[in-house]
Amino acid sequence: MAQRPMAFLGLIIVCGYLLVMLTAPMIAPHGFSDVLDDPNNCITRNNQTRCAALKNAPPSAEHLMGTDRNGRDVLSRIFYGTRETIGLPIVATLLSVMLGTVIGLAIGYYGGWIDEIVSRILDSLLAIPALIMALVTLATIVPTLAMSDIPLVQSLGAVNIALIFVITLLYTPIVARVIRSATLNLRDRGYVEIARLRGESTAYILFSEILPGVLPALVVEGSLRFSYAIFLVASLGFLGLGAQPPSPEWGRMVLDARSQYATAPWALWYPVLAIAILIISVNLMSDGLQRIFRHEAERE
Amino acid sequence: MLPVIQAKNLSIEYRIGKRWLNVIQDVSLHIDPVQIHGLVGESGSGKSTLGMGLMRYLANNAWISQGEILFDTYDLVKLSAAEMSKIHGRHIGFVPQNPLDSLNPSLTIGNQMAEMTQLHLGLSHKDALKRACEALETTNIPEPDAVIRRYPHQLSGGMQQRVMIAMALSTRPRLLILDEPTTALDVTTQAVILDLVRELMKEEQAAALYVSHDLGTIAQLCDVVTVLYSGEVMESAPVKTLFKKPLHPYTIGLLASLPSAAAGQNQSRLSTIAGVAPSLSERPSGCAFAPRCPVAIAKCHTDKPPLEKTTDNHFLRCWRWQDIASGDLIPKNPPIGKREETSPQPGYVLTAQHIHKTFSENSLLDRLMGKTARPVQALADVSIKINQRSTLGLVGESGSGKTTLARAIVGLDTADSGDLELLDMPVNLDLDKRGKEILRNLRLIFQNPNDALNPYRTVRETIGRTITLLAQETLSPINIENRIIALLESVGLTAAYADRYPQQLSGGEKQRVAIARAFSAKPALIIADEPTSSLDVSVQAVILNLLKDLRAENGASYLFISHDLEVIRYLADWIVVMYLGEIVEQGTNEQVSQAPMHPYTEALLSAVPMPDPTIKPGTIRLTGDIPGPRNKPTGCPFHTRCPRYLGDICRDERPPLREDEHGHVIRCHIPLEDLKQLQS
Repeated sequence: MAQRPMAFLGLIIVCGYLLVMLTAPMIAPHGFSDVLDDPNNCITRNNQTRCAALKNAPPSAEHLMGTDRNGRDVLSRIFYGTRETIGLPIVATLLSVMLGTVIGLAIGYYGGWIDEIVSRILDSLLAIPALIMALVTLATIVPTLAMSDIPLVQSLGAVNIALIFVITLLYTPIVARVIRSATLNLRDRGYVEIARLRGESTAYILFSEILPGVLPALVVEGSLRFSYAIFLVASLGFLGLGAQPPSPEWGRMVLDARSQYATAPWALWYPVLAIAILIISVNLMSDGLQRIFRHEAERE
Repeated sequence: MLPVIQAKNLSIEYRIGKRWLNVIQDVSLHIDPVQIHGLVGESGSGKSTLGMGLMRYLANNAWISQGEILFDTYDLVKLSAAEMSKIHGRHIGFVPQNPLDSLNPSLTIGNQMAEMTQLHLGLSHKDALKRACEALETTNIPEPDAVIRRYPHQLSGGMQQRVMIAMALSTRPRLLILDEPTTALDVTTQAVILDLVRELMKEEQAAALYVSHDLGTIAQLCDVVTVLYSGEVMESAPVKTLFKKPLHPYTIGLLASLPSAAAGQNQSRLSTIAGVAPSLSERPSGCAFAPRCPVAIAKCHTDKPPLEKTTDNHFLRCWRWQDIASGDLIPKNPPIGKREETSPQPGYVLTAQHIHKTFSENSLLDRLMGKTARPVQALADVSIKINQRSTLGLVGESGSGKTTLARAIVGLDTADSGDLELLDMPVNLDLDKRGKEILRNLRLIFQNPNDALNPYRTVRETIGRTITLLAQETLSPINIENRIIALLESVGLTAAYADRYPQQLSGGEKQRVAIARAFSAKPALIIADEPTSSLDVSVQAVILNLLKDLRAENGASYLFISHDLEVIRYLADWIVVMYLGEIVEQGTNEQVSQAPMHPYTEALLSAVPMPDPTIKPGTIRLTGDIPGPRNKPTGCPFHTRCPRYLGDICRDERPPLREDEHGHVIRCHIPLEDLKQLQS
C-alpha cells in the first residue's frame, strides 16, 4: 500500500470520512437541524431576545461553510450527513457482499441446473435499469413500511430501510456474478477435488477451500459497489426520493440548495465537493487494491 | 566454413523489480551451416532466453548487457529495431512451443502464411498464397489447398505445428530457431514432426537451433549439443560424443537420471542429482553446479572454471574433467537408499469391471428445446485389476481416456455403469455415497502440484486435515504433529517445511508434499495421474525413486498414469495401453515391451525418442491425428491410423480380445502368432 501513494491517499481520506461519521455529534459545532440566530437582526422584548434566522450567510470564521436558506450551519449538516450518505451504503454493501458471496459460491460450485436457473433470475434483475428499479421499489415499499410498527423500521426510518433494501437488491446480483465466475475458476482446482475426496462437507469446501481464493475479487468488488452505492443514495436524495427533510443527506442538501444557488452557492458546492472527494477516494482505494491483488496473482 | 550465427560472450540481464538479474552469463556458441544445434537444460536454465536472445527478440525487461551476435556481416546487438524486423522472419525463422498462441485466430492459415512472403519477398497476394500452399505440401499436410482456407482452431495441435514450421521456412531463412516445438504434442505426433524437421533442414540447407528439455529428442535430432545450467554453458559437444562420453558431472547426472537409462541397465533405482538448481539471484560464486556436484572439491566452490576445449569441438566447464576423462573419477551419485523390491502379491486391491462413461454437454436451454448433443464416449467397457503391492501403469495419448478412468475410480467423475471393488468391499460409483473406509484407502496424486495444494494453507494444515478426517484411529494433536513430521521426512523434507505455504516451495517440493498427503491416511491404493510430467528430469528421478520406496514401506499399490512409456516401463509391473477410451492391450511389463504387441503399442514404442543417438529411431509412424471422441471410428477404434490395417473387417467389426496363456491380452483382428511374426 505504501508503494502506491495514490491508493494510500484514497485510503487516508476514506478513513477521515469514516472518523467524521463516527464522531459527528462531538465535532459538529451545531445540530443538523438547528436554525441559527442572526445576531444583527434581533429584537428584545420583555427580557426575551428573539432573532431572525441567519439565512444564506457566506462562509466565515464562525461558519466555515456558511449557512443554508433555513439558517442551518452547512458544515454541521455535512458532518451529520455522513451517517446517511456513507453509513447506509456501508450497511447495504456489506449485506449485498455477504448475500452475493453465498449465492455466487453456491451456484458457481454446484453448476448445472441450479446455476442455470439462479443465473437467469440474476440476469433478469440486472436487466432493469438501476434508477428505475430504485424509483419503483421506493415508491411502493416506503408507504407500506412507514405504516408498520416494526421497532427496527421505527428507529432507523422507513426510507433508510427501503434504501438499504433497494441497494442490496440491486447489487447482490452483480456481486454474485463476480463471485460465481471466480468460483468457476477454482472449482476444478486439484485442492478442491482433493477436499472432496477427503469427504469434506460442501459448506467446508465453499467457505474454507474456495472462499480464501475469491477473497481478492470480493474485496475489490465490495469497494467498487461501495462507491456506486454512495452515488445511488445521493442521487436518490437529490431526486427527492431518498432522505426527506430535514435530513442532512448530501444529495438532499444539493436539492434544497439548488433554488438558492444565486444567493448562496456555497450551500450547494460544499456537499457536492464532499461527495466528489469521497467517491474519488474510494475509487483510488479500490483501484489500488485491484492492482495489489493482480500483482500478487502474477507472482504466484 | 563460416558459421551461420555466432554468439560471443553473450550476457543477458532481466530487470526484476529494482534489480538486474543475470540470466545468461558469458555464453559463446556458433552454429554451422546445415547443422542442428541442440540447446538442453532444465527449467530456469535460461535456454529459451538464450534462443530468443540469439535473434534479439527479448521481453521488455530484458537486455543484452554484453557480447556480440554475428550473423552474416552484422552484429545483431548493434542493429536498430527497424533493421532487425527485416531479419526476423526473413533470415531467421522461429517455431514456438505453443502454435495456437502464435497463430492469429482471425486470419485463415493461407492469409497469415502469405503475409510472411508478401512482406519479406514482395510477392503478390496470389503468388504468396500459392507459395503457402507449396510450403504446406513440403510438410506432408494432406490437402493443403483446403488447409489454407481454414482457421487455426480448426486444426489439431500437430497440424498447427506443421503450419508454423512451413510458415517459418516459407521465406527460406538461413537459421531456424525451434523453442520446444514438440513439448505440447503427443509422442506419436512428435515423432512425425521430428522427422519432418530433420528432412526439411536437409532440403532447405538451413541451420537450426533446437531448444528442448528432452534429452531423447535432442539425441535423435541434433548434430551438436550444448548443455546449459544456470545460464552458463556447462558442456558442448557433437551429439555422439556427448551421449557416449559426457564429461561434465551435470550432463552425466542428467543422463543417468532418465528412466530409460535404468531400464537399460536393469537398475531398480534411478540415480539422482542432489539438491535443486540455484535461483538466478543467488548464484554460487564458484562453479554454478558445485553445490550439487558429487565430486566437487574446495576449488569448485570458490573459483569459476573456464570453458575449456578438451578435444575438437568438445567444450567443458569443469575443474576436474581430466580425472573424469581418464576414468579415475565417476561423478555419479550411486543409487542410494533402500533397495527393497516389492513383488506383486496375489489378491486384488482394486477390480474395476465394465466401466462406461459418457460426457454430454447439454445446457438447460438445449434440453428444453429438445436438442441433444451427441454424447462423447470417454470410456467404453474398461476393466482392470490391480494386484496387492503392485503398480499398474496406464499409458496412452491425450484423449485416450486414461485420466477419465482415474477420475471414475476415485469418484470425481461418476461412471455411468460398472462395478468397482476395493479390497473386496463394493465401491459406490458416486463419490458422495462412499464411506470413510473407501475414501481412506483410495487416494489421488495430481499431475500439476501447483494446483493440488491450497495456496492459503500451510503444509501442516494440508496434511493434518487429511489425517484428522481419514485416519483409522482418533489421534491426539501431538500424535498428529508427529505423524506429519514423519511423513515429511519420509518424502525427504524436513520438519521445518510444515510451516511453509505452497508459494514458498519448488515444484518438486510441492509434489513431495502432495505425495506425503496421499500417504497420510495409510491408503491401500494411490492413483497417480502423471505425477512427474510437469517436473524436470532430475526432479522426476527423485520422485520416481520416492514412489518406489514408499510402496515398499507402506505396502500400497499404485495406479500410475503417464503418457511417457519409459516412465511406465520403469515403474510398472502390469501395463495397460488405452486408445480412445478402450483398452487395446494389457500384460506384464515384459510382455507389453516385446512382440507380439498391439499395433498401437508398437507405434508408441517406435515413436519414443531414445536418449542415445546410436539407437536408430523406430520407423513406424502414425498418419493422421487421433480422432476426436465425438466421431469415434467404428469397428476397431484404431483402424483409421493403424499401420497394420487389414481391410474392411477392421472398419466394421469390433476386434476380439486375444489372450495368451500368460494373461497377456491384445484386442486386435490379427492373431497373436501373426502379430509376432510381423513384428520380429
